[in-house]
Amino acid sequence: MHYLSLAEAGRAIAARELAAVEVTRALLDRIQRLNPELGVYYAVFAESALAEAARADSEIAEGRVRGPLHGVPIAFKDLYNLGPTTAGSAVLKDNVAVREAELVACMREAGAVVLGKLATHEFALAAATFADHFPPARNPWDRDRSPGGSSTGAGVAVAAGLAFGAWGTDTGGSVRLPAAHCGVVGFKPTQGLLSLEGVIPLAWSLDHAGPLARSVEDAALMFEAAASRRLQLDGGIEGLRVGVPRGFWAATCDPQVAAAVEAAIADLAAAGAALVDIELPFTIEDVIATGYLITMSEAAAHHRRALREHGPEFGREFRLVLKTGNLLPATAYVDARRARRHITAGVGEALLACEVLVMPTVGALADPIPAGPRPLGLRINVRPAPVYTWLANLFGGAAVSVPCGFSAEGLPIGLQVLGRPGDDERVLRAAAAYEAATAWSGRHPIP
Amino acid sequence: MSSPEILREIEGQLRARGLDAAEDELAELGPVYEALADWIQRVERLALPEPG
Repeated sequence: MHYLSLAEAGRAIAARELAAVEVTRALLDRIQRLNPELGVYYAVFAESALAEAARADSEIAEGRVRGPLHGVPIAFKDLYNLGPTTAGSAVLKDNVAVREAELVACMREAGAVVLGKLATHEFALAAATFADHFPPARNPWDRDRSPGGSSTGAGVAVAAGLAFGAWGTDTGGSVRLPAAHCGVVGFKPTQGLLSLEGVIPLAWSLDHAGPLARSVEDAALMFEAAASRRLQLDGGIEGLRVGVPRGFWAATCDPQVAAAVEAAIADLAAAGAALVDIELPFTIEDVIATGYLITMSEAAAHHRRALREHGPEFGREFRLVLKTGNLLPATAYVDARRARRHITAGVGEALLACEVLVMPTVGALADPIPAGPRPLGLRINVRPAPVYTWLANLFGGAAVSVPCGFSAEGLPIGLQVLGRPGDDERVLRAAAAYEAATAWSGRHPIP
Repeated sequence: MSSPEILREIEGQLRARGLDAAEDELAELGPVYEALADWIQRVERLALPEPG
């Protein structure tokens, strides 16, 4: 039952073939069994989840079906205001949200059952380590490795069958990176479509909310409920012009990841897509420098008072990121915002020659979880980690990561599909067509 | 390891913002501060002027 798709679970509950209470209890039992070894949930709302499930069953029995999420258990990254809300930081270890985030309210309105709060990198940035206040979430495909972040718990919960869907946040890739490393789907919608009201910010001008799920259809259902819109994912990709900007990733990508992505591109062509070679007028280093300079400046501004008053309570990496942000001149922030316009214009130009772009989500396999704080030099470096996700946050378009293979070590690899702002349906349709043509999404790390 | 001048500069800038840094933090911030120069030059080269 725990590996049913969200869509299947919703249909079975609506048809009263399964009771929401039965489904919720099954997931709560599984969470109780696996959470100690996977570190997925910071908080589990067992009692309220069962009450919500019972209410859903009653409403459905009376013929009042709210929609595909009615009675379906989901969870939230611990950045959303909802009960105990810590952002993965000792600074907020005792914080309890007074008012729930708008997106939480939206999911309640859709009838979803809220299982609990999920692990995160501290304030959605610093890499989780074994020395943190909260123990790190483990990658279910290799428990010594990171599940990717910052929405660590969301990736693991979905991959390990501990939720049918999860809400993460994405400032530079924090929904798509754990999706890629955990072998699930992560969707960053067009900027501004989903509410961030009641979500603890990292960098206000780049932050997005986004769903993680085990299929493109499931992620689309969560998005539809949150954005109050309907998407049409059928229809395939016959004739769709798919842009391939190899120059953007070729020099920095792990060979196993590159091989899986090239195979995925061939699969897209076999499914009817027309491939178009694209040259982007900027490099991955340009994108990462721009993303980080904006993020560090905005995060430093947001946390300045807390850093003065509670500095030692922040984890070391995040504390040093904030201090670095305080060292940046205002002109660097202004130039980074202007560089963002250059990047946005370049992507816009590229997307005149094609409808979507494809590339690896991240050009590396999941890292081992470090024993202690990572040196900041690993993050701020002229040769930074090959993370190809910042791009969509900078230009604001829709982007989704979908599983496209496994490494020789058995670690998942993600393919990223990106489109123009507002082209969420087209991006998801392309990902759904790829998913339907391959079998990568059907694998699970734990029986 | 960054020069003492760089470390003093960092310390002074943080102090001006009401912040401090322990010695081990300064030692880590020094090379990062210097690496940032590459990023800052990079975005300056990329920057488009504001509209108008």
